Amino acid sequence: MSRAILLASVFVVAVSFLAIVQAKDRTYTVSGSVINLDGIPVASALVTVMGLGDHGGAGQLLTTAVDANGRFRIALAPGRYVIRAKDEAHGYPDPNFLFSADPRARFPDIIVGDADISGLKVILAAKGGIIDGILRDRVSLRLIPNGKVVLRDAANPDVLVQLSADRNGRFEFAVPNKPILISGVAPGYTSTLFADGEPLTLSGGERRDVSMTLQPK
Amino acid sequence: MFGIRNRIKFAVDTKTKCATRPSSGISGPATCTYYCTSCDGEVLTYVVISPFAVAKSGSDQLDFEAKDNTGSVYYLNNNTSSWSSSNTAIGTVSAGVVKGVSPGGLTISAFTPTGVYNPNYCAYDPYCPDTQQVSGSGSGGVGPYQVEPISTASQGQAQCTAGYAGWIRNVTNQVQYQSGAEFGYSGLTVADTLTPGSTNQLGLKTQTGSTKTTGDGSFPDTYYVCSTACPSTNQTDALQNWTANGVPLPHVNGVVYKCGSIAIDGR
Repeated sequence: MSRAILLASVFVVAVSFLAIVQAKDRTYTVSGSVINLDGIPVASALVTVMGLGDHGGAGQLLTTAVDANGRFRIALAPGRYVIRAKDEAHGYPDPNFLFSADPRARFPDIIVGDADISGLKVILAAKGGIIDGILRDRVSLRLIPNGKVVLRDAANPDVLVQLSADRNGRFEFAVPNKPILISGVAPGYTSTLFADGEPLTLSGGERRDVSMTLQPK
Repeated sequence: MFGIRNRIKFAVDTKTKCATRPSSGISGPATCTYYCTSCDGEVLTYVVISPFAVAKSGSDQLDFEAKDNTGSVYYLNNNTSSWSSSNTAIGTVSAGVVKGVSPGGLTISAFTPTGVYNPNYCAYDPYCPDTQQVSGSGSGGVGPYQVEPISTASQGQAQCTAGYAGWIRNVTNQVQYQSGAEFGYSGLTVADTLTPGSTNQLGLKTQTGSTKTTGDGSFPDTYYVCSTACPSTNQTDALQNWTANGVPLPHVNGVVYKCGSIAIDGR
């Protein structure tokens, strides 16, 4: 009799352990839509998911594309997440950079517990624009490979994004709809301000060539 | 133990073969005269190859399949007695099992020599044979060793929720041989597991993810940290294990997260 009880107890413990493991591994569907400030779905947006713990999080962003109606679905394990979206090709900047912060945007901060979550509304920041350009040597006009372009929020210059030019000296980035400062720098060259340090503001998804020539040291 | 079962898919040539009516749902012979006259649906002609990745001294099972115009898939491994490798110094194949010998690129071919595939096509006019011979091939490589960042597109302060601060870095990662040369296959499924080490002041939890590579074996990736412990000099050390098409890569990346930087293998 006691042996039967022991076996039963072992079985219950084993089943409970399996249930805990399964609950830990289980994911839930989180769904919603991405719209712009006018409430129009953004069909080419990319949704990013940042996992956060109680005291923070680190890792890699999860991403998923939206459908033709701006809707998304993603499977997430229980935990806390911030859901954001971008469409850099059309001038909606990457909101995961503090540089691109826009108080009008809405990015749900959710906790996935033991159920699916639906009906989320991700509201993109205002359309900014796209900067692109080339870094060149001011004397020889040769391309400068692997230089850096630094973008700063003109209202708070400590907030920045550093871009890497490619081996052909080219760079491109979607910037927010606010005044920004642009500078270029590369090893062996003096740092150079674009437009003599005048802030640049882009809107509506416009594209602007911000090529710079750098002075050799 | 085999990894992911890769597939070599192909369809037959429209010029010499035609299919039965796809909407009928009935598998019957096509009507053939000197030329095929009752092609009710175009037979797709494409080769879809899932690139395979095999570890040196490892192995992987490949599948040989045919797909007709109706979408039906014919599994041919059991009917295929002829498998061949383009370079046996790099990899060998037997019964669809590829074995890695030394790092490099490889093409594996399969063939049904006895004509066992019977999708009811008109074949070589004016005959309507019951069977036909088919062949296919797939490419891949032996010896993917590591995933390393090859460029950083952008980095800066992360936008975190109130009370948190941190850093974000967008990179292009690439699957590579041990030499650092690209393991250049498009469509490889790469997956990783980030595991926090003993120093974890910024709150990393074990995390997994996966994506597919582009033509040079690269893919975009974004690393971030947002923590209530920032700004500070705190940091989290993590190990990043990678697989390519299910094959574990020998090299494990070390990732160091700080409030104002993220370094991958010291870079």
